[in-house]
Amino acid sequence: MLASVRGPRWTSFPAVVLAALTLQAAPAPAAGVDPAALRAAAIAMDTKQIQAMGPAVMPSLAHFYSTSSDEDKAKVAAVFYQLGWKSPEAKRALMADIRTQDQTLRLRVQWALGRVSDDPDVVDALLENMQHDPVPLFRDKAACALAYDQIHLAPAQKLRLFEGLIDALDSETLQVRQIALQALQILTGQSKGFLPGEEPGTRRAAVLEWKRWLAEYRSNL
Amino acid sequence: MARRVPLEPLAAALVAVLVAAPAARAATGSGSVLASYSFDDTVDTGPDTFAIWQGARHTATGQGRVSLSTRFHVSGYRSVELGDVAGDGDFPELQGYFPARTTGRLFFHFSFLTTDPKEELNVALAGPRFFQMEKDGISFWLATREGQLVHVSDSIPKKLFPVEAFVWYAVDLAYDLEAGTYALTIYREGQDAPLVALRKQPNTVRQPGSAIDKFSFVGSPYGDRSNVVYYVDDVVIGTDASVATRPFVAPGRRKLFIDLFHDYQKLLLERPRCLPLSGPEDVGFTAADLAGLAREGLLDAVERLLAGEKLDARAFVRRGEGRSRTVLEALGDWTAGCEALAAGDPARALPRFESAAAAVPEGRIFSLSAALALAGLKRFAEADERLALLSDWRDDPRYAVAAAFVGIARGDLDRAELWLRDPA
Repeated sequence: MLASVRGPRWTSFPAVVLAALTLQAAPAPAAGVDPAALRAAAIAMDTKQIQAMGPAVMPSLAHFYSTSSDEDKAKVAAVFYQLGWKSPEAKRALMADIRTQDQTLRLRVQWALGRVSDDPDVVDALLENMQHDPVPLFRDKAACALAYDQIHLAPAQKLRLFEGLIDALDSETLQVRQIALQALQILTGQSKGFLPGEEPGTRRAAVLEWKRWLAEYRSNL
Repeated sequence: MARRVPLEPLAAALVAVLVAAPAARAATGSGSVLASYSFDDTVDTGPDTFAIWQGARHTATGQGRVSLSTRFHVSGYRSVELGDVAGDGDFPELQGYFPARTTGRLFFHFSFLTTDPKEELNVALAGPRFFQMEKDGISFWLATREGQLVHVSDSIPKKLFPVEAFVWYAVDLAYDLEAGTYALTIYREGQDAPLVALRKQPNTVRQPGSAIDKFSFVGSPYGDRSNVVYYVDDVVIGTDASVATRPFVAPGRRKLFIDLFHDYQKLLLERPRCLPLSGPEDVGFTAADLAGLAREGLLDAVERLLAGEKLDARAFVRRGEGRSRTVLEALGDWTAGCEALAAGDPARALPRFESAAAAVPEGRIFSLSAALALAGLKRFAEADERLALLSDWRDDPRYAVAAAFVGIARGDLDRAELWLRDPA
């Protein structure tokens, strides 16, 4: 997971919603923006050009995403990731693919979600994928997204994220415990002595340490 | 040249640099001082001492800025202004380097003033692992979050106090490198007792022995959501408490009087004209007024007006309410008067200044400008009366140079000097 750090980092603090987006009419394009140019820039993943158009293009981009092939969706998801602009439309569109089995699209969706939204169901969906997706790669990259890409979360919103990761330390699946710890280490710089491969009794003391830390985190909100 | 930020894989080009520009005075390795910046002298900096990025990610889309400013300062007459722009894909950064420390104690002093506490800013000490949450990464982290000053200790953002706009805060950090703990003391300008006096706080990631070799002042490096404009002055890093502890008395008033006097005198050499503003209080704005302006969404426009931008103040007057509307109207009058004075028309300028001064008597720049206009009209007795009413401003170089100008215009420099002496 650590090897898949993406993008610049000053530091690393950084339920599926299947809305019938595809049935919705295309939103009016942002003033002064040519929809064809926006589409072309998105397919070319020309983030700088889209950045110059401003955040008003996000609904149009989300509509474009929802009506595209998986290949093009993956490109638009990468653009969402690079832009890092909050957008409820983009979040709805991406959440529709949070369980896609297309590997490239799935990874980019998981990475992009936290960069377009601070909604709690985004964190919940990623925690769910991290713990219960049958594909280990998807679980790993969900943890990666939780560790690096929840860039809009305020401290109070991060509580939900920390709670989920600390709960996952008790997972019966070794890989889940490993990636939950890695995410916690990336977010806090600490392990509290937790060793994912140890026996449950040995792990319990470290989990208690994490829970004490969580209580202090909560008390500072 | 200063080093690039190696944690930035996207950094294809080092854009704005200003290293070795006349921006700051840096001293490294001199006695117990590791680095010191007062941002006043025009002395070149040495290599690898500090760097300034208008956009630290080097995305070429950054619209933020890092620049010297005379608008607010603690010591000397300048500070560094950092301005971030939300949604521009980048953030401004002032980063300083010093020899890495892994043992002993480190003392870090700086002062900061923000124009809007709700906008995010971040200050940090970090090591060779840069601003990662790990050992040898970030060790001390101070930030504003939703109007509160917080320090991140044990990976937990802990609230310190609600930050006030346009108020200087002096921060003193005493850091124990081996233990990975620190004492944090923060003073507010105008108050003797510290607002914060914490001891033995775990460092950011609770990692004893974490190395430190750099400091950083930034806007919002994560969510790209900050429009912060803030000022930093008197940054000192040292290994002895005495070098990093600065007096914090009357910030903004401890000017290099003679330098400013000469600067202002040059402005008046050709003809009478308005002297520059040094802060919002010059036009009568109080902290409460500024908070009100922020609520009305007018703060940015007022800042630009105060910085001397030619904006139509009347456009904002229509939106302002109550007292802020009165001050904005006065500011509009003053600006119009200044334009007339600069055009050599003191007769047209005077009524605008008088109107502004009558509406906002505490806006002393209005009366001072009226004195200059009166001198331009050779109505010296009235100019003297204006100056007499401003006598509590005699420590300000603008008052001194205005008084001298009135004296020279009348051919009576002795009389001008008289105004500058303390009362018997």
